[in-house]
Amino acid sequence: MLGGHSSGKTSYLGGLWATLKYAPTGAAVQLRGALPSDTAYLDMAEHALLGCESVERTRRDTGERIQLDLLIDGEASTFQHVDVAGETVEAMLEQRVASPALMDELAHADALMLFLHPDQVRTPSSIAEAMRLAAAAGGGSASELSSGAIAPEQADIDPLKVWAAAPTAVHLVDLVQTAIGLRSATARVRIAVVVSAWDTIDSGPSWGDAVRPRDWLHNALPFLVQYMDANVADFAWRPFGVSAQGCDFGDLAAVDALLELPYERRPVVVTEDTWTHDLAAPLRWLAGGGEAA
Amino acid sequence: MAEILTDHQGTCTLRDCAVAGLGGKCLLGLPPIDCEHFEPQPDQGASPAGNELESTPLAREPAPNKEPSLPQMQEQARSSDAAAALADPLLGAVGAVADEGATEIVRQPRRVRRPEGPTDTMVFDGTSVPLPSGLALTADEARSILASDSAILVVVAGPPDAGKTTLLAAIYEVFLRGPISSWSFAGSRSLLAFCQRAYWASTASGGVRPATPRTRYDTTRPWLHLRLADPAGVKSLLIADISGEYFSTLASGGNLGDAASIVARADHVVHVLDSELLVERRERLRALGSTESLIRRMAEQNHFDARAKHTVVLTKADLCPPDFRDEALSRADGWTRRWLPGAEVIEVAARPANHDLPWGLDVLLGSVLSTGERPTARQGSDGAAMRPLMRRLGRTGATIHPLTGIAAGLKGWPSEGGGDQ
Repeated sequence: MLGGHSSGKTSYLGGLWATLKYAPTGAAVQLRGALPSDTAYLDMAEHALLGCESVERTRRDTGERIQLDLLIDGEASTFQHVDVAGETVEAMLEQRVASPALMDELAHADALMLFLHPDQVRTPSSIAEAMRLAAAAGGGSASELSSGAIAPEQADIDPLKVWAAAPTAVHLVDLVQTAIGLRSATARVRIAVVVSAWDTIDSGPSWGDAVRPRDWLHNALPFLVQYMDANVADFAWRPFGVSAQGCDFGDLAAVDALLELPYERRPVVVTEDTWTHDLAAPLRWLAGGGEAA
Repeated sequence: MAEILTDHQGTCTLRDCAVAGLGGKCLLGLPPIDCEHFEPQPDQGASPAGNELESTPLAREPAPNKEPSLPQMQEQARSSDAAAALADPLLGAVGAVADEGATEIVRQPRRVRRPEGPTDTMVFDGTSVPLPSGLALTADEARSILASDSAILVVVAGPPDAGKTTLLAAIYEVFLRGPISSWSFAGSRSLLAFCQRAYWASTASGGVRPATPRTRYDTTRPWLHLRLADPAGVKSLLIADISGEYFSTLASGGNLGDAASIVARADHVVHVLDSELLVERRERLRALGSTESLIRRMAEQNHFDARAKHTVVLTKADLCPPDFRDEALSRADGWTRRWLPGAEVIEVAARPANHDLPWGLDVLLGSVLSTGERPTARQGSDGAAMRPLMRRLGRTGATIHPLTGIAAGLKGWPSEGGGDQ
C-alpha cells in the first residue's frame, strides 16, 4: 500500500480490519483461522475509525508490519503489508534514495494499492493557463496582461523545489514506475488505485451514479491514467473510490448520523460499475478474485 | 475576537516555527496533525485506554456566558460518546469563542488513537540505496535503456533561443493534461528533467511570463527519455537536449565539439528555425541564411547518420509574419531538397505568445515517431545493419562493443572502461 501522507492508507487498514473481523460466514473475504495474536496497530486504526477519531501518524522511516491469513473466494491467501508513513515514501522520491528494507518490500510485492486523497491533488497549473483565465475573467487579451512583464531570472533552481511543485500525477507516476522497477518478479502485477475520501466527491445512496472513479481520475489526473493504461503489459490496474470513514469527520452532523450505524454499513467502495459496503473488495480484486483483470 | 492558541507536545522541523512551544502558532497556519513538519512526541500522558486528549488551556478571564470550563469539557469527553463526536479529531481544530470582548479560550479536545499494545515496527535504517535520479540521462543511463528497450534517438538542433528546449517542455506540459493526438504518455526515466524544463512556465515559479531555462553548455546529461503509446504499441524516445551554442559554433565555422557524437548517433534530427527572427525584415534573410548554413555544414561534414531522418520545424510559428510565411516555408523546403532529402517541414507554436493552447506538437510527434526504432543492443549486433555506422565510427577512432553493438570511445557515450571521455 503506497501513498503520500494523509492519503487514507491507515484509515483503510482500520476499516479493512473491522470488515474482516466482523465478516459473516461465507463472505468473499474473511479471516482464516483464529485472530492473530499481534493486532495492536490494526485495533488502533479500527477503534479510531469506529470512534470517528484520528490515528497517531506513523513515524517517518518506520513501518508497521501486518500479516493476516485470509480466505479469498475460498482460497487461502496471506495479506502481508508494511504500513509505511506517507512521508517516508515522499522522501524516497524526493531524495531519490530508499532504505534496503523498503526496497525489499517493494521488490517482493505481489500487488500494489496506490492511495490518493482528492484534497491533496495538485493539478498542472501553467502561466499561460492562468493568463487565459484572467483574460476571460477581466477582459483584454492574455498577452496584454503579461506584456511588459520581465521574465524571471533563469538561475538554477533546486531540483527539490521543482519536484515539490510538480503535479500530483507526476509524483504518482514516478511512484508506480519506481515500485514496478524494483520488483524482482516478472509476473504481471495488479494495482488498485484507491481514491480515498470518496464521500467528498460522490454521495449516496446511489454511489457512482454521478461520477465513477475512472472518470474522476481521468479528469483530475489524466497523466496518471495515460501511464496506467499504456502499461498493461506490465500490470493490470483498476480504480476504486473508497470511503473507509463513511463521512467527513469534520462534519459534526454527519458524524452524529454515522455513529448510529453499524460499521458494516458505513464504508463505501465504488468500482467501475457498482458499489458495495465491502471494504475488502479491492483486496479481493488484487488477489485475482471478483472481476477479471 | 478570542485568540486561538495551541499547545502541542512535539517538535517542528520547520525553522522558526513556534507551534511546539507554549502559545506558539504553526508557521504554515495548519493544525499540527495536518502539518507534515510536525512530529508529535509519543506517549506523553497517554491515558490507560491508549486514547489521549491533547489540549492544555491557558488561564484567561472567564467569558460572561455559560460555556463549560475546559476541565468540565474534558470530563464530558471521557465519558460521553456524543461529546467525542463533537471533537474534530482529523482537523485537530481548536475552537474559539468569538465573543466580543471575551478573552477565554475554549478548546475542543482532540483525540489521537495510539496502539494499546506492542506493535511489529520496522525501522528503515541502514545505508540508503540510490534510486534513478529522474534527471536528464547520462550516456551510461541512456545505454542501459537501449540495452533492454528499442528507442528512437532524436537530436534537436539549432542555435540558442530557437525554442529547442521549449518544444520538449511543451510536449510534457500537454501530456500532463491528456494525450497528444493518438499518443499517450507511457513513462519516462527523466521525469524530473521534464519538470525542470517546464518549471518556469508553471505558476509555481511565480513568473508572469512562461520561460524556459537555458540549456547548459555541457553534454554530461543530454538525454531525455519518453515512452509513448498508441493503439499500435509503445515507442521510446531518447531525445538529446543540447545547448544551442554547439550549433552556433559550427554555423560560424567551428565544430560541434562534444555534441558531434550525439548528432552522429541520431535516428532523427529536428532542425529548428526561430520564426520570431522573421518578424524584423532586416533580420529575416540573415536568420534564414544562418539556418541554411548550419544545416549545410552538418550535412557536408557528415555529421548525420546516413539513415537518419530529418524534420525542419519553424518554432514560434504563431509569430511568423503572415506575409512572409510562404516564403519561409518555401526556403525551408529548398533546404530539405538539397541537404536533407525526405525531410518534412512543419510549423509549431509550443507556447503561443497570446497564451493560446500550443499547436503543431502532434505533427512533430508524428514525424519523429514515424522513424524506425533503433533495435535493442541484443538485436543490434547484425553486421549488415552496423556497417555504415562502423565506417563512420572508424573515421573517429571509435569501436563497436562486440556484445552490445553500441559504439564506444565517443564523447557522450561510454568508453570500454566505463565513464564518459
